[in-house]
Amino acid sequence: MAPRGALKWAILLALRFAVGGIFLWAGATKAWNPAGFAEEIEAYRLVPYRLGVAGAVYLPWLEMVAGAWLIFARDRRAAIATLVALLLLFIGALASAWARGLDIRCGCFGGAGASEPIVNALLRDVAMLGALAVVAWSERAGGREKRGESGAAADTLPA
Amino acid sequence: MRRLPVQLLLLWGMAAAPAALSALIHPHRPSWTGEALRPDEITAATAAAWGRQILWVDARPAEAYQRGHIPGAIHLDEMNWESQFGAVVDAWRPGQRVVVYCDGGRCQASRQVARRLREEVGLPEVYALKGGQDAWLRVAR
Repeated sequence: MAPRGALKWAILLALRFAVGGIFLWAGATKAWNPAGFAEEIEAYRLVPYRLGVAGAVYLPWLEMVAGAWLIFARDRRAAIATLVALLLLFIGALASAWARGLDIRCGCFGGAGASEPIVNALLRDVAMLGALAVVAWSERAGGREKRGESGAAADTLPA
Repeated sequence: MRRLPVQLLLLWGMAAAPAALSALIHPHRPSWTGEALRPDEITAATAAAWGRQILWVDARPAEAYQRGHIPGAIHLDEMNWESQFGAVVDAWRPGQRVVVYCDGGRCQASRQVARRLREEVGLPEVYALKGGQDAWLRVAR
């Protein structure tokens, strides 16, 4: 592997571990106390009570599975799509709370990080969205290269 | 390489199985039968985020207050309103939020006391704690 290729590989691996690890940790802290997470969702005053409860039970596990998938799977498209959707959901909820002047805690890591300002959480989510865009772009470029190589090989096969 | 929709179904399904189990047997599973948060209520999680900015008011009967209460809470129940509400007014500082609580999710005393503190005493930011002291103890643990 050329030094530039190795550097790119290392950066992408680090991004995958960072984003996947954050989601694994965030999901685990919330899955530990789903009743507490249901209260955090409720404080946003965005969704009906039962929908919030369903989210409190399901979202932590979705975060953990998608985070692990991003780190360990070979084909990471489903994890990227799921995590992007989750981040857009979280950014929308945080921005809405911020715009309405709600003085609530993020709830991003269960009871941990209780005093974190909402703007910090927003910036972190936008940064993770950027990291996922880089990973997705490199996967796409890698896929194109592979298809190009196999196409070129097919062209050189004897008739 | 599986197609993306199949992968997505697999991923979401893998999350759904433990989530369903969690909803059934987790010791801290949320209740499905609760009520939506009212405009004059806050959750214990929000109260925890506000921290020391809060003036706590205990709306339970005096015996329950004497058995134990949230540290710093002032007792004010409707039975002793006239003799007790002055203590809340004396303790309140401008800009401070008042949070009134009673026992658990079903008691109404906190809403009544919070309403009276707003309407009769004129305190600007008074909320009832959803889930009462029980919810606070779960968060403060």
